[in-house]
Amino acid sequence: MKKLVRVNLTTKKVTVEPAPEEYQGKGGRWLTSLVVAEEVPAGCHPLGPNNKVIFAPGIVTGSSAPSSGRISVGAKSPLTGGIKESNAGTPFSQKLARMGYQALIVEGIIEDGSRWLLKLDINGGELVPADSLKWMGTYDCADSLRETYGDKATFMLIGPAGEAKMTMAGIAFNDPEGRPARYSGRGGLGAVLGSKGLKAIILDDTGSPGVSPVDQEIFKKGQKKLVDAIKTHPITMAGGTLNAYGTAALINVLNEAGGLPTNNFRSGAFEFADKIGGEAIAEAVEKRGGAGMMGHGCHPGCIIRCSNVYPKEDGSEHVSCIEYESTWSLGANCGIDNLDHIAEMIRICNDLGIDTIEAGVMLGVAMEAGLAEFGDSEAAIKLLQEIGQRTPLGHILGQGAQLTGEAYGVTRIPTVKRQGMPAYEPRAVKGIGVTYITSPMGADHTAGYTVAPEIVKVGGDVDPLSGKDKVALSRAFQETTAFIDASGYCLFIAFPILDIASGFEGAVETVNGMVGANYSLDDVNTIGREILLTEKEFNTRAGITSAADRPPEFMRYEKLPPHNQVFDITDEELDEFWK
Amino acid sequence: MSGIEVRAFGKLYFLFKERGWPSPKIVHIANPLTVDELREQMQIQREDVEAAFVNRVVEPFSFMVKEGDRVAFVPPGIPSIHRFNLGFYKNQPQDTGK
Repeated sequence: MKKLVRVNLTTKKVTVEPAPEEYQGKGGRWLTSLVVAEEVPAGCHPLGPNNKVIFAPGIVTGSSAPSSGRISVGAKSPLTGGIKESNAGTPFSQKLARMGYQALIVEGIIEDGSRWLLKLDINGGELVPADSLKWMGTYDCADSLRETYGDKATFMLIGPAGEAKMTMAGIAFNDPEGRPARYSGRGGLGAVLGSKGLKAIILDDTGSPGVSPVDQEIFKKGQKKLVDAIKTHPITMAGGTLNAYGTAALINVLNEAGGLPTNNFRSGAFEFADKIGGEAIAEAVEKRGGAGMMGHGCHPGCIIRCSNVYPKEDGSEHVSCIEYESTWSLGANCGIDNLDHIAEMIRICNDLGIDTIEAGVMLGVAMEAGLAEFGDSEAAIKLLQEIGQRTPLGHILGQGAQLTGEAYGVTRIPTVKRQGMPAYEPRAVKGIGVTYITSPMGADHTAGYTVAPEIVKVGGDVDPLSGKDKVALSRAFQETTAFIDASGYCLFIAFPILDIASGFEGAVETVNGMVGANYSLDDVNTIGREILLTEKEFNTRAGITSAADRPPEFMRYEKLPPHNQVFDITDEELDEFWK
Repeated sequence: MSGIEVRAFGKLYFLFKERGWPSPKIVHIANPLTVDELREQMQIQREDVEAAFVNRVVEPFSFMVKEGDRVAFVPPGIPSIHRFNLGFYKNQPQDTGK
């Protein structure tokens, strides 16, 4: 029987209890969304005493399944006002699973402004005062934790933006080398922990029981199929695209498609895209040497290794990592073409503990408002520093793109359900636009990131500029993605399974072997839909109905160059998503 | 004559570098030719190209290109969701697995 651990910041109590029967076999997003739906009043204030933050490793996390070190974090989002799930790849997830915890539930609230640290071990743990970490940036905070708890400390923490309850605040976890660089970034979950006064969690996994599949034979069989698929596909293999160039390899491709949002979504093409893409990052790493590296892994057991460490000119470490969304949001979306400046902006975001997507979208809106010129990285850095200094302007910017735009009367605010859009222009890539609009999470590219092999059979005539069939396709993508998010696998395992169907079978078999289930490939969509409906139902209770499933108005009437397209999928077609 | 602007991404970007080609490389042609013929003329291996953009739209390898066009070659290895959404599959054999 797996355990739940509850941490109450009001009473300062840490209690361990058996996981309810209905939670058995569930993990990741499946579990966090279920607990939020069952335990969090949908009408509660996200920063009040009744919200809860749920941490759950995926179903196969902690096992030998490849690239499966995801931690799911769920709560009611202070950014969207709806349910939120945001996951990260980190050793934290693997240790939490091996300690026998199916979920960690943080509840209650601190009203005296104090800060607390949770020391969690296999028997529970304790909350200890952590005022010494108050307002500390994540890098200094991580150093302090390592100094106290050792170089191998496994931790979660929030930065000053979370402590200030800013809704672009994320939650940072350690990477294998101890950097506070792996993020559950989206939706302001760091602000929820900030409202509870929980600055950090340290795991002590001494005596961990580990993770054992119920059916070792099926698990191993599935594991082999999945490993074979990952290791042989050109996107995920060693030396393949993700390993060699990172996720930012997409910059030039999306730019060529006219789908790379530029200057606050004014264009789908950035003249200097080649200066900020994965190829340019790999060239800089090669040329500068030193601490720089491509093919960095976010957790032990990842065999894709898409992360990187970006060096300064002198070869010393600047930041880990520059990924696609960050180099787009802080680069093309702000008209900035200098990788070193983008690296510095990512480092500042990481230190403050804020979501780099929301930060870049906010900066684009701020530039639209005249707070800086597009392309002016020095001014952009100063705006980010306002957040760290917690000035009145910093408090506005720290609430994200929507509130910044509202504060300055901007009509072109690229958000859905108040969350900033990621790096794919909905007017040029309409399929992903449908996902942004219909996802219960708000604009989120990862909500529909998985294409099951059978979809290819109907996808032969997909036209990115046409709305035809996009709603039905997005539904299928979102269902499969929700299952992967539940499994604990990195979404990127899904990339090879489009072409290598046995890899998909293998992933499902590892889940079956782990929990003793007998899911078929069809069950993947059934489970995924169940997760989505749970989330949708929470949002409805929270007052977020299908009326919120709409694109920003300007995308309906403003033609996006170079294809000169508007978003022309009708409201009625969008409403078909949930029917 | 303006020539065809040719770009390449991923490993092909580095192939251009190895050959000392700029990006974009301007290729002059006497008569319109197909995307595949352009690839062959540039001595790029067929297996190193999964898709080609012509004027920012993914087009079949049989698509005719002419002076003034913008072409980009994309190698295998782009994440599935984007290959799907951008229309790579409309130009591929429908191979759904092993």
